[in-house]
Amino acid sequence: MNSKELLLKAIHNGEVERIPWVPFVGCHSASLIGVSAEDYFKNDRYIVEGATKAFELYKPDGLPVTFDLQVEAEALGCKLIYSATNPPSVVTHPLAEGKRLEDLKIPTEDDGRFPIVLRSVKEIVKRLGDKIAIYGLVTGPFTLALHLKGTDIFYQMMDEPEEVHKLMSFCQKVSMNSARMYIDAGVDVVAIVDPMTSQISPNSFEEFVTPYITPIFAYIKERKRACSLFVCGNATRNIEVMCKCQPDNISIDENVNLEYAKEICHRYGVSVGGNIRLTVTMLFGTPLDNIREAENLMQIGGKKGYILSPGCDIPFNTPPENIKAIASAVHGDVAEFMKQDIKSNLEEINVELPDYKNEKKVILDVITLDSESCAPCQYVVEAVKSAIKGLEDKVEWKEYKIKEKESVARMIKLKVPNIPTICIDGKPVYISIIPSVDELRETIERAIIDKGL
Amino acid sequence: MGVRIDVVSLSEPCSACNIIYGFVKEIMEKLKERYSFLEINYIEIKNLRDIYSIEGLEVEKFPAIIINGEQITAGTIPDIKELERIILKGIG
Repeated sequence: MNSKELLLKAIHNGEVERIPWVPFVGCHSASLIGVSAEDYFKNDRYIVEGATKAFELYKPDGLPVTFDLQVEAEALGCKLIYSATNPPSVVTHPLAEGKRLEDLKIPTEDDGRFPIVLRSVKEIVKRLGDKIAIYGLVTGPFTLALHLKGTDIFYQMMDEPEEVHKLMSFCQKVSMNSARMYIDAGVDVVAIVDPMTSQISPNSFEEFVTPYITPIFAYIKERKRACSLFVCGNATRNIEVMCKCQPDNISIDENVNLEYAKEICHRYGVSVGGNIRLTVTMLFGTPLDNIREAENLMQIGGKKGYILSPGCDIPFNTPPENIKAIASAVHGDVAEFMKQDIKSNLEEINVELPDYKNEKKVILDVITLDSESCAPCQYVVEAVKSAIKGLEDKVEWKEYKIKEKESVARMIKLKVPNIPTICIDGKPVYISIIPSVDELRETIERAIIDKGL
Repeated sequence: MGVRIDVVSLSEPCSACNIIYGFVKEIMEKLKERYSFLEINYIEIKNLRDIYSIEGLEVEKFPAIIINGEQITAGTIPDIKELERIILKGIG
């Protein structure tokens, strides 16, 4: 099963052998190829180069073509301010400034920056489409309505709901047509990105969003593509009403508890994606912080119906090493990543391994990130502690945390590829697996017998 | 008594935060037109140290609005009427 098949299976709530991952690169890929965000968003060559570079560096299972929630708005007459390091911002709202809804026309392949984006889709699909799943991102109808109308929409929802329904009906047509254009250009997944729905209650969602977004998902499914609903912000209270709109997948950010979202989504047969913290971890954290967070989220998400991804689009200046670190956790090659990350320092460290064969005890080396902060590492350490109860005179164990360089050197010397791993007498036995206490105890008892203790 | 409003955002927000930040700025412009005594400061966070140095910031979700040292919003589009009520209360 290649990366693309893996992702499509997971997005359809299937069980997979490895958790797939999708780094949401938009303006960040501009930094990868050394251009400004403004130049990147206005040039299909840069969008294609950026996605290709992200593919090479981050070993993803899927990638968005780009991440720009202003394409539809700009084509409908909203003025944008472009930035060197951020996505563009909408600064005018035509329907709050005298334009009538009847004056607006649904954007097509020729309008605004759609020609740039669609050329990018076709080229990226040509280059990468047989290897990974390509996402086309559509501005969701409620977010688009806010772009067009501004914040007055919140008062209008109470005072003139019929006007909001008219606007939402128009925005539905726009989103549906964007989905059509992306599908025609060759994407595998259409994500309806509607972050502003996190600003409204479940009741308002059901009244003003559900009737308009549900048919979009039905249309995408009819075209045999996978569909996802991206929401950013604290959408905790809306997860259930979002599921009822029947997307294949819901993608959340750090404001929503993944365990909670997974429980609700899986009840509705919807897969879930998310929710690596963008700022504290990806932008400002260290590679180890990113490995830790990826491990913790994968522990919660599990191998059925879960996709590891950031909560929203990755900031421009996010250190690539942090994203590579996440990729190493996903692909089980943390040791290789660590070796490259701190190679110059490692040469100075000389780790002496015990003479395992002749030791008078069975030696368990438990390689972790840190059992105090990494959930899978904690479970492995707890399993070891429980499994050796009563065998302390014949078994010795120690945790080696790879946040310390000596432990990285030990990990490499022991040929441990990933964390957490339990080595028994110098051999990696449980690699990135949390064994049951009974199974582990049995293995240890066998090692005791083999050693003649 | 003056009223000081700090609008705290990340220098590199994600798309969703960027949209909300745009709406917050628009609301601040409207408030400034109505209440000329307002002192509005835009603080853009560039590193983790900045987060911990902002007085009144209790919830690290952005954009955040802090009025006279008290955090009012965290990552949400504010209700302008509610902000007006807090401002008027602030000037007694």
